[in-house]
Amino acid sequence: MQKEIRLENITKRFPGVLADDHVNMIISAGTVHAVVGENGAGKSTLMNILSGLYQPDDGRILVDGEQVRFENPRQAMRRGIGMVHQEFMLVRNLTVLDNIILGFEPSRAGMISRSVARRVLKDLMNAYKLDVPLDETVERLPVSMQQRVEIVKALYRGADVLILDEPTSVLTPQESRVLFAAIRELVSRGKTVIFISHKLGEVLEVADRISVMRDGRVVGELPASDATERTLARLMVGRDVLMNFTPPGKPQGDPVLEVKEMTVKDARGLEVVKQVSFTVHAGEVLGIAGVAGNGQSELVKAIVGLVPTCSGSIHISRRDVTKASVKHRRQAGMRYIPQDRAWVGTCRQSALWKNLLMGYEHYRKFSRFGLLRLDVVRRFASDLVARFGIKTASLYVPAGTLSGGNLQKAIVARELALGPRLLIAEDPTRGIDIGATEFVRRQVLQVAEGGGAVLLVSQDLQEVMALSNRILVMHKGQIVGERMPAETTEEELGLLMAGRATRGTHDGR
Amino acid sequence: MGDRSVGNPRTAKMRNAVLTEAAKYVVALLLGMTIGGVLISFKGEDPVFAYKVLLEGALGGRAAIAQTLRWATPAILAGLATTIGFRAGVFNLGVEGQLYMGAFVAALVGYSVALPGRAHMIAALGAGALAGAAYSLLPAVLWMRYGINEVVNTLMLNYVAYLLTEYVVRVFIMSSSGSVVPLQIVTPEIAESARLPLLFPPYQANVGLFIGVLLAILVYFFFQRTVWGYELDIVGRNPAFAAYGGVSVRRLGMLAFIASGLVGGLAGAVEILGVHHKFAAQFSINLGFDGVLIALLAKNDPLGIIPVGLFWGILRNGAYSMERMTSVSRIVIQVVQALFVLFLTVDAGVIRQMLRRRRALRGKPVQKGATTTHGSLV
Repeated sequence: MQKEIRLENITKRFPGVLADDHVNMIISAGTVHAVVGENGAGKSTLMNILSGLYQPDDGRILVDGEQVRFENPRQAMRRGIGMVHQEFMLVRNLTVLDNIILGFEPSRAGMISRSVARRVLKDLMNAYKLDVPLDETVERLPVSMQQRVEIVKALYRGADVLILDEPTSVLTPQESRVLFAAIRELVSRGKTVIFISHKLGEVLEVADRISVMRDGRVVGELPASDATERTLARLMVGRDVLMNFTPPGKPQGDPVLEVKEMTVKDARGLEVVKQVSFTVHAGEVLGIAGVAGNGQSELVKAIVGLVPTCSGSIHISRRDVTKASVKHRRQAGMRYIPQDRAWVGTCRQSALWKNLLMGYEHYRKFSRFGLLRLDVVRRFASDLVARFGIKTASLYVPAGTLSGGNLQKAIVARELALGPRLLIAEDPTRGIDIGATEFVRRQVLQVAEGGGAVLLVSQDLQEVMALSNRILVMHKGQIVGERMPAETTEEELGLLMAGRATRGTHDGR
Repeated sequence: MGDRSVGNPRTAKMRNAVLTEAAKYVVALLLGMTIGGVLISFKGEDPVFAYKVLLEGALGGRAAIAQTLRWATPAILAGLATTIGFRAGVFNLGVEGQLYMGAFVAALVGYSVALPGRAHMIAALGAGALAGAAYSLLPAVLWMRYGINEVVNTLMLNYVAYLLTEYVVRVFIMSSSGSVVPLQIVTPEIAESARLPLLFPPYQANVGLFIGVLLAILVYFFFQRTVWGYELDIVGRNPAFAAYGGVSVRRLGMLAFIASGLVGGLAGAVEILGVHHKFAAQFSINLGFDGVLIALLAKNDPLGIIPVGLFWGILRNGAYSMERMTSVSRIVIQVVQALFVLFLTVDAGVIRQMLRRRRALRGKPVQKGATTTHGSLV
């Protein structure tokens, strides 16, 4: 069952873009092979080719020396290649068992035979030490367990080569450890794992070999034992990268954002934010850490004004904005970098300049008597493009044509354009490449250095630790702890995020 | 994706895009006409001859052209009404009903009020437009305040409009005006002073055409140059982004809805004041519904509405003449029209965009990477 994969001269063009440019890669059987690279480096295109989602324009794929051609993911699966996507492909209200066998149901006399499936799965789970609750519905499982279901699903379908696309982006540090252990177990039993990531630390931890991609080419391939974060980062970006930041000094400023005993309900009427209070001062970066789905997103939406609060109050610069519209909050100096940059932070079909104007169109600078001053607007937009180094063909192309990192730069450029008093940054570097990440983080810090207040909500613990003056941890809608980054560790925060109190006390407010 | 674009000169790229776009229209039209041709030959007629008759009937001579312009007028106005809504993400399929209301009220003002000179005409036009706006208020409020689907609502209200106007005319107007044994359910004729001036008397083409063209240009500038137009455009494309940026999505959507109804009402008023000179029950032969097809063909571009409207006038007028000259029913041409739109929009991404917009309103996540828009019918 050991599979060696050779990719030879794989080339893939999209209209106007050369995504993969004669890529060669050898993935030895029974190893963990990491593929790292910035967004747009071509690694996901490459993996989508290997898993049969795309077909290469040129080049060939060899499995155990035999040339193959995959028209669709099913054919790739038949050759033992399966992919676990970043977004899970699970039916939320079906059981784990049904999800796993969906499309590959063992049947007896035309009827699905769940007992056969159950027996096969039990053996499989025992063999790889990957337990999943077969009879639970998927929506009741934590994200880390859903991910494991995806892995079991791929194994059940006969995968010998597992492609994991940014698997740790949804996990706590502890959960990542568990995943790495599972990966090692798989590999020890002869499976091959292709691990796509941009978190260099974990790549070094889990991989045997590392391929680094840049601009559609492999720019380096080396054993993990020879690599350091620094060398990998340099290969990926093509220059030295500043990875460590120092948060601004002790904040002494006035309170800019005051949230008092705020409660928020979701669409189903459940309290997803419970009695949360905190203050962000001028010159301060306050980080909020937590596993996704613990109320951070609702907290941010309520502060920004996109969902109503149930009780409690919000003040921006001592003005009560609890009931104020988004527009009024923006006028009070609030800016917001949303988590969902493709759908909330931009309008993909609209021209870039229109995206850069959003929120400012009423400013006297940009409009008079309801008429846009297009010349001023365009100067403003091209100035932002230059100042923030946004790579784009022109101001008039739809924002959706920009790469992820550039789109995020555009959002940051817009939100920081006129010096925000309060910046709310939600996963500001999620899924963007190192170069853009470095840039965005520096910009966020500059807001605080310039006397603005920053509320940083991120699932990336390293990011929270690197940028914040103070860290609050959210769990199940409540703030369960406050720490200074210098006085805590990722492990401790991870435990708090998982809802386990540390130091013997439950020190929420 | 990376952003290393292929280094083509920009102009060549743009010319290519324009050509592709034009080719799509041509292919879609040819496909529609081919199927129409098959239908025509089923009737035992020569399709080429039939289409020739259609073209001559639409463009052969002064009378034909005047009549084509007469039909282009409501097409442009109704198309514009629909486009205003579509651009803002409002699926107002009630232009037909708003047109009826506008037509009815314009006729009412036209025959029952006496005003000096042009004032009468302007008052009647204005009243018609306002009636259309008022009639769109109901679904607009239901949509914005209670989230009730405007597509179903506006569609249903069309029937209310046909039947309500018919009822009012028959029960209240015809009985009081002493008309006996009505052959047709109509209001009395409007006063001379309320009529729109004709472009080439005695033909029916009237200044309504200029109203339509002018309005199309105005709407174009509204979307290009004004703050509200900018915001509405974003609301239509991505309401979540608009809300994020501080735009009052509900208020603006409401505004677009009512503006759409206003133009719909105006279309009805122009029909009555320019052509019919009295309101007849069920007078409009899908004028309002054609607006949807026209808006789709023009890809919601207000300036595009003008040529598409003219084209629509050609087809409509030509279809009448084809029907007179051959045994082919003009319904065949309606089939061709519908197929044209269908073939064109198969790839236009309009549908995809609508679905995305819907999903955004409901706050569901959108699939990543579903943004490449190639693959075409050509």
